[in-house]
Amino acid sequence: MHRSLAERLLAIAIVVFATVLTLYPIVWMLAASLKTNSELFSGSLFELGSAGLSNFTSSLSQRPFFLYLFNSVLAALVSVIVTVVFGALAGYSLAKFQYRFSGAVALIVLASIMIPLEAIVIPLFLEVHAFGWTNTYAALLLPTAFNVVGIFVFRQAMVAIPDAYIEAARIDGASEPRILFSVILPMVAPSAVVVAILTFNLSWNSYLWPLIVASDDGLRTLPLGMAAFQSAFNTQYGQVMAVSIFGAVPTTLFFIAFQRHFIEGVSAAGVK
Amino acid sequence: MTRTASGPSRYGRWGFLFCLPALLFIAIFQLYPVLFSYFISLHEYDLLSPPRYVGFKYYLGLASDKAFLRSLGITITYVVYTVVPVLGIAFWLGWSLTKLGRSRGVWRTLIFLPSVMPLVSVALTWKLLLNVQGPVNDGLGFLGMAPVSWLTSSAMAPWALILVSWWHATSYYTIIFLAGFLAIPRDHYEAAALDGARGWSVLRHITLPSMKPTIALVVVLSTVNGLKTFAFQQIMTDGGPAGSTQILTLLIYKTSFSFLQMGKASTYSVVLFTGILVISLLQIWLLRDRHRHA
Repeated sequence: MHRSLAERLLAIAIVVFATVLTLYPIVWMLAASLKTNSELFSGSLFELGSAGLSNFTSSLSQRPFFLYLFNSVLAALVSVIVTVVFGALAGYSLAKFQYRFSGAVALIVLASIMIPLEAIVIPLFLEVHAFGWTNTYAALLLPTAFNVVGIFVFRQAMVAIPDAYIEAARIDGASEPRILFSVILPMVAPSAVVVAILTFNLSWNSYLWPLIVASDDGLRTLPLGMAAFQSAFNTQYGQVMAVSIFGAVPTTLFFIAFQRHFIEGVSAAGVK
Repeated sequence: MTRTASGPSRYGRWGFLFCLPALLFIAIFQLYPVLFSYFISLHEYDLLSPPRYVGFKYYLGLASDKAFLRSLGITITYVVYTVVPVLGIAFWLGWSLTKLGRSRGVWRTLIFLPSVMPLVSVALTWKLLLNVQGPVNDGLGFLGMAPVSWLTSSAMAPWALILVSWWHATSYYTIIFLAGFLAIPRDHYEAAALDGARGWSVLRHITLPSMKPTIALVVVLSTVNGLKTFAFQQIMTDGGPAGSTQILTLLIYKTSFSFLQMGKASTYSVVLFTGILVISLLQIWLLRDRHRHA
């Protein structure tokens, strides 16, 4: 008993220490956004800055940040819708159907999961250029919209559904798409939420692809707008921190709202 | 295999139709670009004049391409020094979290926060934290150490980026480890306790063997993610000072979009892709192994 108490105290000490290190940069970012440049590197962390909200008002009015926000939300929505709909369709197909090329299709899907965007940006850029999509929303939104991992999450959940449900619906005369959308999909709703969250987060953080295709300021997403602001005003430290908070607020709110699903999504990777 | 009894003939057509939209996306935006990148890597192409076939010139040149070799070395260093310590820290922290009772959920949420932060916010904040006058150096000063030029000296910048990756990646993998620890059936521990096993012996004989698949997964995931890193380097140092943090993704980006050497950059891409492919295949092999034992 003695020993387990000591073990537990050690564990608590480690967790508290790690949490302090984890939170420090985030708290510092918040504190710095309220400070003037001269206060930022001199005062203590908990000294309230005298800048008030001026860093936010001056930085956010300097560049069209709400347009960047709109572009980011649009990109995330398109990606989530494409991935959930096409991922559910393909996942259902892989889970419950057998046809002439079903083995080949499964292999193609599996192979495509291993193709990182980072390794194909050049041909992808040339392709989009050839389509005449230069500086359009199509170029920004479509090439990276579909997240192949979605197929696997749906397949995994749908394999577990007994075939009897499908057969009963067929006997009742339901069409095949109808069976998927009104019988199967409601049963895997939690997986749909996990797919939506993973995809939203991926899209929200996407940086390399927008950097390559959105040379027009009006097409920039939030990460690009934030990075561009930093390179233009890199000595306005408080403003840079205000901008970085502006970018972090949507995902943080999203996380608070769907916390359980977020952690489930990550944990699933470790257990399955 | 639980397949619908009526099989291929009647409903197979629907199965294929359901796959079609996803296949179309994959074919246009993934498979075609992969094939196209092999094609470009055999050509000299600057976007302005038509591609000129040069055969394996760029591949043969890799061994003597100083920029590439340096970048490859920087990438491997970054990946090794990210994967190994993060693996250790996340494992230990995840293990410590299991020892906490009811408050575990709260700590887990707090520790997960860096994974929720946008990459660009993380990069911008750490750029200031690592400023010569910044709080990290204040902390060192408090310990009686001299300030370090984290991002402005080519000796320290690679370490600064590795440090940031520790902060950022530990968060995510700790949660994966915690889930793995919690999935170990309780009776394994009870049986060990009956045999008189305690402390390290439990860790060695019960916990570690059960966690093998999770450890393998984290190694693969963090290696692949390390190889794909781009935003931190591009924003915090832009590969500098003096190219000391120019990882492969950044070299590819600059070679193609700043210097317009599409063929050469595609050759680099093929190398990066092959590396990631080998590691991903390793993952599939490891996961298959796990199902056999489960």
